[in-house]
Amino acid sequence: MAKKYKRNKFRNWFQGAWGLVSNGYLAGFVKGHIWQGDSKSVCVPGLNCYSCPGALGACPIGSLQAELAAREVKFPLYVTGFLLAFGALFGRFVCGFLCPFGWVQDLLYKIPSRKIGTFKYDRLLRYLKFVVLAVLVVLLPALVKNAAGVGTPWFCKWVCPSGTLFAGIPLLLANPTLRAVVGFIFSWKMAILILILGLSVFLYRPFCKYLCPLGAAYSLFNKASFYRLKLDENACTHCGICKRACNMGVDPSKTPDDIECIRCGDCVKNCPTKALSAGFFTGKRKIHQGEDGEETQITE
Amino acid sequence: MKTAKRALPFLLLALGAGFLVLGIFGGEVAIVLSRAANICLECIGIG
Repeated sequence: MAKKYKRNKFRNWFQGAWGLVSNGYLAGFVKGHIWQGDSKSVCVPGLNCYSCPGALGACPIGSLQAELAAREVKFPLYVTGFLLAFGALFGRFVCGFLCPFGWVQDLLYKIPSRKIGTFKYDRLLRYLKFVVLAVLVVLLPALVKNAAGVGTPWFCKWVCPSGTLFAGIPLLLANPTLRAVVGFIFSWKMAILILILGLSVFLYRPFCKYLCPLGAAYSLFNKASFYRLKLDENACTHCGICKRACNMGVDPSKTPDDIECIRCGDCVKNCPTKALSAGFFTGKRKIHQGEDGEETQITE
Repeated sequence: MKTAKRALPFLLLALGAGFLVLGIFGGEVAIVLSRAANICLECIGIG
């Protein structure tokens, strides 16, 4: 029987609470329409469809495509600004704590079943999310335009399972007018959603690992964000527990800033020597006192 | 090198803030708002 590792339960509750707060317009789910207030001009950090009936903010990936697809925008400064700010502050902490679709995948993975840790092309497939970001989110919306000079949000239209789950399904359930016009694209997106949700029972966060363009963008900040994982090399015994506890397949004792680390904190929780810590680091030196009373400086 | 590494998050945050301000003054807020405040048919699989 596989060993059970301690999990950060606070994270699940926090993710759920954040999802509720950022999708707090509950009347929208009943009436079948969306919130239209000014807060919709502000991007939320996670992949949270702005057409979700409860959404109070804008999805950064949807907004980025909207800007790139617009005739009048040469470079999407506004949304890039949000991505830079969220990335610099949090890196992929957003994936671990602030993304509602990540939360759904986390919950599905709790269903008892045989789990797939890794497989032959696991690491290679993780680069697919960068292709999705470059091609479906940036290049196609920016370059393929109609006669009026307006592009299409390719990722939203053909892939985004978060949009199908949090926007498509609730809106179609509550709004008969929209229900009357569904066609092939909705069926295609439902198939993607079902595939990803089904896989999530056996494989930890398949969408985040292989397809999410927002995770790809934030992963570039993991080495340079304020929120970081820190390793005290003097305290680390290289026992490998952190690596085995990590559902994302990261070895924090070797690469605490790995682009795949979603900062869930499970490695910190399971480290027997407290060699790992997570938090907002600004490069200030910290003093760690070992069990023998010896002091060790932990620096950048 | 260490100083540069420590400064990087501050630089990125400042760059992000700068882009945000430029975007606001460039009228990009209205583009995002108009997109986000109306049902996106592509997002829900209709468009």
